[in-house]
Amino acid sequence: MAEDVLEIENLRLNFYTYEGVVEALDRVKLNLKKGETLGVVGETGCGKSVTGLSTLAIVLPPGRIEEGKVILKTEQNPIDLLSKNEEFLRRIRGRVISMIFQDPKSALNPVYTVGDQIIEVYFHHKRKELIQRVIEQLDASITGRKASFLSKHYKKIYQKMLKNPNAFSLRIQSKIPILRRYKRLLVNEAKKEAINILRAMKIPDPERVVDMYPHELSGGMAQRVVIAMALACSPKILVADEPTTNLDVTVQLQILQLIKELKEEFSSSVIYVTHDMGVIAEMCDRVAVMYAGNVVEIGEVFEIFKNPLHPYTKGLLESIPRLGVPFKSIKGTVPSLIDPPKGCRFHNRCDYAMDICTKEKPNMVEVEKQHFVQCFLYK
Amino acid sequence: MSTLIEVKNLKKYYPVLGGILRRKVAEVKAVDGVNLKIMKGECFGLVGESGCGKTTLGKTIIRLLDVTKGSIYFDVPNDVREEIDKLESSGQDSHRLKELRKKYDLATYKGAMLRAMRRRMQIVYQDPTTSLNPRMLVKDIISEPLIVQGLTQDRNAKVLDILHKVGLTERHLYRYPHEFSGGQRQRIAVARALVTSPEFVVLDEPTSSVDVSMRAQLLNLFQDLQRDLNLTYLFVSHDLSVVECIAHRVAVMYLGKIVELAQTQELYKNPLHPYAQALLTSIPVPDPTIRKRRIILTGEVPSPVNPPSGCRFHPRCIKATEICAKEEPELRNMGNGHLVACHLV
Repeated sequence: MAEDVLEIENLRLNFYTYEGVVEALDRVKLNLKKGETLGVVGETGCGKSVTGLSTLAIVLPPGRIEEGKVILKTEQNPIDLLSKNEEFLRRIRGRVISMIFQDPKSALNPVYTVGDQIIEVYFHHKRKELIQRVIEQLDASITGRKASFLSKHYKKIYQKMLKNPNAFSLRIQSKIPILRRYKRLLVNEAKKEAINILRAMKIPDPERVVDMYPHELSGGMAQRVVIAMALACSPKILVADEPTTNLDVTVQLQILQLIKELKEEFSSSVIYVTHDMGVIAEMCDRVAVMYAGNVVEIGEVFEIFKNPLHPYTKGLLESIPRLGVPFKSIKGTVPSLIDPPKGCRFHNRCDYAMDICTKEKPNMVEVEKQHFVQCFLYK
Repeated sequence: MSTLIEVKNLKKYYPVLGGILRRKVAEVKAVDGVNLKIMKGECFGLVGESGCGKTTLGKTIIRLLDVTKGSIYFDVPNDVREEIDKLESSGQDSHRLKELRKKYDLATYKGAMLRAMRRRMQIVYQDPTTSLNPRMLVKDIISEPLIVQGLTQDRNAKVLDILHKVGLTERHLYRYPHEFSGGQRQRIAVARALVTSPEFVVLDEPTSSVDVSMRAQLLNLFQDLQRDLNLTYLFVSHDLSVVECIAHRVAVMYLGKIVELAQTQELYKNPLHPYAQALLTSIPVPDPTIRKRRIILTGEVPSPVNPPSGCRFHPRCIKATEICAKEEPELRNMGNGHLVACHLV
């Protein structure tokens, strides 16, 4: 079995709202293995997206992490992301762990072109490489005698940028019009990279798309751009938060295929958050079922579909419309997490609820190999 | 079964305005020549990608949008329909034809006549959070259609009756929409649509904004109501697995045209049009053991302002031949009520 690349340990996250404390995540425990796709599935408001965000150590206000760890296993030593400062996290996000957001239209900034937004990622994580490449280009043009009279001057500036990016003279120059034109070389270099990544996303005519604004793109295209931004620095871990929810089935299939191929190409691990069981069956190797801030069942995808153990998982699978079978649904709705049910949080909707379910919280038990469930029925 | 609605060569174009004078510079051909019949008591499914004109067709049929061209016959006696057909094909006696169409063609209705018809056809919108007025009480939301229609007798009794039918109670009457969950809100929207006891209801993606478990409840509700109140549905959806379970017949739309129409099981088992095939194979199957052969469509739906020549699907079609780019295929009957618009079938 492949080793873990990411571990979430006993994560507890609360939102402090005016109505009260929302216990959004209650001791969530997950692990992501190298090269696998882990599906996270559940109804709206059960903490799927919050789990996704906390893998990047993003906690949206008014949320606060009460306890727990998010451990990134690197080659040298494990890092607890939650204990690190923003500066450190900024270097991790986008390069090691990266995220595809749900609604591409709101994930993209409407006042910048697609190219500008992708370039931003490169400026953050690959600045030195880009500067190096600009210098090489300038060298080539100087030796090839095709240089403009400014080439030597620009080369000096770029060498300074490599050595001391915060130099006083650079800070002044970068703000004065005409003098700051040296930046163009760097932007052009980054744009080439952006076009390459857009081409890898199978976007037709990337040279044109790179200068377009998000509103000019269709939903599927915009989603591809968001994926391009997430994959710009070929991250080890990719968190996809319902990337195909608002898309048509035909476009959804294209995007799913794309994520699959890119995962192979960059050999990354994927956490795929969705509420669509069909997509889970299509994409994932393992599935974690979430309910009201708990992971209630986790196992191999074949196991979950063939042999669902937790009553909630059974309910979810039964509520998929099937031909000739009357529509079934789970009774009731997801409880408010301000005052969640005591004991097992599912007990008031569960057909098999026992006395103990209302009092104690069940522990995760391994029923079969690699198939864990959090329910008193299996003890 | 008798026909409730017959749509003939229906067109709905939206103008594209441009220039300083805001003149019409082009047209978005949202619905471009649709023919269909909906039987009484049937659930007619309408599927297709976003932007193919499903919703526009639904709204145009119940005249929420004005018709650009074409006719809609709502519950017209058979002999009248035959006479209109005869007159149209012969091209004579245009005065009589005009008179008949004014009387029976929903597309020509105006004012009081149209309002009277509105009682018989209603719509449930996609997103209940935006289709319900947040500043109105549930009681007022549901009774508003009755007031507009002038059905003020026993108003409260009617509201209560329909409220019980959709699975809500008196307790919910004096509340605002924001106090309800998504599924309950959609129930309120359904109650509002059904309070005037219509015969025909357009369901415009009614389950796309609710959770999986809620979706099943709503679908059950739709089926129960259809049985109890003898309703006819036009079920517009892009969720193909839902349509498979609820609809009796299904039409597949592409760029403002119906490309295939058949009994649900016939269509899902044996799709003939390449687009319908691609659409149906792209549904994710909730079973990891099944890995079916997929037809992945490349590209996206072209702009309906300037649709491709010939068959509108040919630039994306894997089987396209020369004729597809030149001639527009007619909707042909392949037997057993299975209609397909493709040169290659």
